[in-house]
Amino acid sequence: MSDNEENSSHIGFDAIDHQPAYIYAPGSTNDEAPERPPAKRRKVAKGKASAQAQDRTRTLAFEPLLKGAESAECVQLRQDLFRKCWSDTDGRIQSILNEANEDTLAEVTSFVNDPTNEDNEDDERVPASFIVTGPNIASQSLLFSQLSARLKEEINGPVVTLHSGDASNLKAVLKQLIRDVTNQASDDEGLLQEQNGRKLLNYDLEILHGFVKNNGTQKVIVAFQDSEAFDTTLVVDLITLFSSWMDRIPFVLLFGIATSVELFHERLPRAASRCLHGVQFDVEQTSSILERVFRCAVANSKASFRLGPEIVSSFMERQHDHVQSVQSFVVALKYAYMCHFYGNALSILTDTSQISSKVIQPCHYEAIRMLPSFRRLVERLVETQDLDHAKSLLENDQILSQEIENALESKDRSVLRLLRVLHVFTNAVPEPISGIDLYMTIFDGALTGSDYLKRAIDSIKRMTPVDLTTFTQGIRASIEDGSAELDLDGWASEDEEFLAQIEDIETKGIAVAEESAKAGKPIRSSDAIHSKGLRTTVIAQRVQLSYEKSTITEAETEFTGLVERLSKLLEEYFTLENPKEMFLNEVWLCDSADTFLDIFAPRPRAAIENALSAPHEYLTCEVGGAEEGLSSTHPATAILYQSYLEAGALVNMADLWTTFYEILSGKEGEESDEREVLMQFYRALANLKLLGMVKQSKKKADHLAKVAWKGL
Amino acid sequence: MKRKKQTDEAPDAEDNETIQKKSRSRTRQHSTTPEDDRQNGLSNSATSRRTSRRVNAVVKEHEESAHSDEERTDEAPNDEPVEDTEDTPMDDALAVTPQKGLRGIVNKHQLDDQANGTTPKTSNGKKLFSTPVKVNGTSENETPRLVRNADRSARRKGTRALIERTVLGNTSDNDEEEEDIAQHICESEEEDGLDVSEAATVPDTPSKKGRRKGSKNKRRSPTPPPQDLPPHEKYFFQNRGGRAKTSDNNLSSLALLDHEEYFTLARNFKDPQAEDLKALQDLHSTSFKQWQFELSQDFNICLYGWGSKRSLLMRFADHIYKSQANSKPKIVVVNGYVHNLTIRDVLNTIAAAVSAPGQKMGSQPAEMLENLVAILEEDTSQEVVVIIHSIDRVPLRRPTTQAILSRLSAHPQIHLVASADHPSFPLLWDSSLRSTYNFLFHDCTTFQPYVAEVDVVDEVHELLGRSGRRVGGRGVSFVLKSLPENAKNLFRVLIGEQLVAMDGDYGDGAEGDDDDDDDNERRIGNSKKSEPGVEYRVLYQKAVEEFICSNEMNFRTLLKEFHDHQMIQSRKDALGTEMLSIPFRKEELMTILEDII
Repeated sequence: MSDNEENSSHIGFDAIDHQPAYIYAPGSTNDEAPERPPAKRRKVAKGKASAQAQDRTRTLAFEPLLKGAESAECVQLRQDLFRKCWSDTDGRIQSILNEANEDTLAEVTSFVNDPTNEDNEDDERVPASFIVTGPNIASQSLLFSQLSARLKEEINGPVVTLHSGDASNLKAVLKQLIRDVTNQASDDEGLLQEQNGRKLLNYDLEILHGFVKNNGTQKVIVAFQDSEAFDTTLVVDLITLFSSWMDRIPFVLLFGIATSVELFHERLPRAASRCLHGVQFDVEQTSSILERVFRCAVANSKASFRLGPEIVSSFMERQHDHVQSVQSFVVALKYAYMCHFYGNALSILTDTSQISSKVIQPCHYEAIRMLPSFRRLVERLVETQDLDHAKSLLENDQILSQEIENALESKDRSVLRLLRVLHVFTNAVPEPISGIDLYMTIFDGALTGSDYLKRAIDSIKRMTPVDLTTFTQGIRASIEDGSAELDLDGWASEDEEFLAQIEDIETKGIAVAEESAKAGKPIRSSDAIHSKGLRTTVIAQRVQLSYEKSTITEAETEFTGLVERLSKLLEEYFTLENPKEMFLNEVWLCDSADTFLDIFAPRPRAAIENALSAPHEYLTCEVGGAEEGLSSTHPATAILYQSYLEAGALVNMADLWTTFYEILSGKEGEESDEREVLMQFYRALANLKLLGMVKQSKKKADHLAKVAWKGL
Repeated sequence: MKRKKQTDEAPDAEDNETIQKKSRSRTRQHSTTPEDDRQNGLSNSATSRRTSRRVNAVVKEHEESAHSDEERTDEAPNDEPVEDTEDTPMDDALAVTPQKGLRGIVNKHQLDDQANGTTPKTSNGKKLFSTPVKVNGTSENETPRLVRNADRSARRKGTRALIERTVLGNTSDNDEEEEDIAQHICESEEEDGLDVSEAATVPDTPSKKGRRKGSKNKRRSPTPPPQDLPPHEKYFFQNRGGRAKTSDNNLSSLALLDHEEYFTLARNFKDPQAEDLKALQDLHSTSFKQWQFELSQDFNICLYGWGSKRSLLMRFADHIYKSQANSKPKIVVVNGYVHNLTIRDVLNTIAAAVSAPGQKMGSQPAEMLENLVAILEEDTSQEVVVIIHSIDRVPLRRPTTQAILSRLSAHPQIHLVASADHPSFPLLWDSSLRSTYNFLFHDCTTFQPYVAEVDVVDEVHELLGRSGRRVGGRGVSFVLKSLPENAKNLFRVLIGEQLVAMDGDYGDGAEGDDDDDDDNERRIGNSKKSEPGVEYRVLYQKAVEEFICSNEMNFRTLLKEFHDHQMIQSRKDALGTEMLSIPFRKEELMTILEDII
């Protein structure tokens, strides 16, 4: 009672702060109290603005950029562009994801529908399908939701998905099972409670039996989403229970398995595994799905903006090392889109079709002139002595807008070419290449000197005429047909010259191949022979080498010429512009990986340690010079933390307090009260404990044990 | 107090002792030099055996010390074996210690040893080899047993510790003990010279001797710990073997704050950084619009970083509330730091926000979640913003709770904004939970004090081992007043017993302080020292004798009352007997005792 009175007298105390949960009503927190004035000011400012503007800001989720100079139309445009771009991309991704699991879904459905399971009534074994999903537990939920949607559609019967988190004991599972089944189909509430005049407990499978009889249900499907995480005894209990009800309720079990069926089997005792008869299904692995998603979402020719190599590599690293789920990749991709359109005022230029020079404001031109790519452009112009043009670009908005239009047009062309090369390269090269890696190389502008190209050219040189013709055929086919995944139509008409050359080589190659077939002698290019000859010299005498060289026939020299011609042609064809060098690449190429790492993989420990050991980076602290170490102007917790860092594994609290008091009372011109400093000491110490950095030590009285080391 | 005196006296005594021992070992060395020289040739192979044989050496050591007890009456008998075996093989370890005086001593030792022409370690090995195995079998096994049996009680503990140590091979304690001795010596040396200057430089320190904290006081230690160590090296440096060297200061002279005083002070306290903090907060609040956009794109937000993010989040709530003029969004605030928070509270409040009251929600969280989702889906335009302060605090830490929360947050109509304080909060979530949460993380370092989140006084007192609300024992007096006479009497008996135990323990502690045992043993000894208790059985007997209760049921009921008020603690000691204790210091116990009598 006296406690209450005391509390109410405390200004800093509000009951609502200590309420577990409540519905927010403005002004309900006293925290706002000291900050009321700014809140009011905000209101006044809004009131002054016209009602129309207020309306617009409300519908606009985006903020006007360029220090607010951006017009509402531009903001709207960015917002619309984001919606459009993302919904396109998202649609493509979703279709891929649905497709990816399609096979598994179909197989499982047909298994569940399998009539042989029903034939023998007296068989007490429960049909079970083991779906091996791989270690990626994050994508299991998607699979199982797809599965249950699919099964509900095609099978007359309820589907219940169990999570290990909810399944604490048998009773709870049965309750959930029955509740789910009876809610799913229809709402006969009466069924739950009474049957034949007798009351049933809500975990009695008799209820389920009644439901099955009433609805003529064919199957009751129970899915264990993360079966390894379930308590084994619980799974065993459920299996035996289900099997004993098999004559009345047609159960079918689905197990999601992350490891392997064998391991799962080992965990089950024989009594349980005897009750099951099952089939194993494999799910397509994440990496291959990821590759497909990447092709159709990032490398797609219709995607309106590109991810740069840096950001892709950081996504991929995260993907391989940490999350391994397609969903998280999609989410990261979405965030990249959001960032681009939310934070980049120039993103209005992303879609060239909608752009009209009217929308572009003077501030946009200014922003463009700040771009590094603009600087490079001007520098290039100065180098080529085109000073007038450079000057007018800097001064005249009109000419700049012309340049922008040109740049955007050429950008479409060059990106298309990059993607075409990507496609041709992956298809033509005999050994399989990860499309993602290749994408990174190409968009880094580094294909020309890359290992990929070198290896490809080398492999051409070692080819036989037959191999060569199939190779050129592959190139021609990929150019003519284009790619569905990348949304590339065939572009035979655009690359006529290249195609003609390739065709020429091909026909000659065929001729050579036929000749060699007639002669019955294999033909190789001189490079291949040379390498062979080299090998013999290592083993045998020098004389042999010269002998070998002289055997090069006319046909072979011709073929060597062909190969050389082809490799030159390809090298030329695969020489690409570096997208990062293009003017205005900032508009359509998003390539800053730093923000993403912190957004998705935070380093709270580093952040906290940094804040406490270098508070002057956040606060002014009134001392300009003090960069390291203790200062009485730092916040109390920071002071304590820094002295704590200096101490050893065992910290004497009395000494800690002495130091703390010394530092704080050492302030010049201030005579601080010991009790007040003690209060701050208390607060700081409690904060360190909250951060899990100290705990009470049993070794000595009034000692703390150090738990956290900075930077570890 | 007693202990302090003891340590003050100790240095001189031990100083003498070491010197004595030195001379003793020297004489022994002289007597055995011929053999020793012979053994030096073999020493390479012998060293490996040395450790295994050390047990024997120790046993022999006992015998010897037993014989020499008569001549050295001033020493505590069980000090002897420990130090005797360990005074020589310490030199390497000692070189690391930052004590200046120590160095000198070590050098002296080395000089001594070198003068004798032996390696520092030979005292052990020599004895081993000077007494052949045969002797081991005959004279040693028969005569010493008698001796050992005679004063087993005095020495058993030390022997056991020694044998354990040598057998297990953890000799890391050696240097620490050596340092101890050496420290005592240097203390006596330095006391006169240095204390004066120290007192001059640090006038405010309540107790001068407390400044010997090694790494903390750079003026004092001649070789300060290396400053620019990489983090892992620092960890090993600070955790290196041996006892941490900290002063024996304690906070007994400091009057601790109670809640009342703390809050009065906190209320009157003007933070000099208030302006900065506000600027920081304003900086973070410029991203409100961005956060809102992120929420609208089905992301959830998690804020981390140093400082309370509560007021920032409340401002964000305000922002959300005001930015949507037409349809007032539902905002549910959850205070994750409130101790009695359950996931049911969260779900119930959200349900109350979206539906008419009186909706049936069920009892199991999973069931409630399903019902809640059903309610939400009735009206898909209904959106709820859930703000969770400190999602990583204890009430919400359970995996099942987190699973429910993540599934809740995955619903498209629920937008979750959470704050997390702990540096390792991402460990709460595995990859599956993480992807269900779909969090975007923002670093919001606010430097705001944790006002509502932390019960500062309780936390600090827990760290101090003086549990919070009972500080000063005033609360206890109130409780006792409201209890029946029997309970009061029982408490009186308990206090009496505990006081007796405390007195006894202080005596023990003084002795135990010097006979540095094995680490484990010390810990037990220490905990005994810091929290003396009364055995459950003993207390019951006493209570029955004094007619406080007649049966154990009765006794338990009385104890339960104390437990409820956290006036007593119960724990199991090393042997498994239940010990009861009152978590107060001696002075406090005295005042309580006076109060009830």
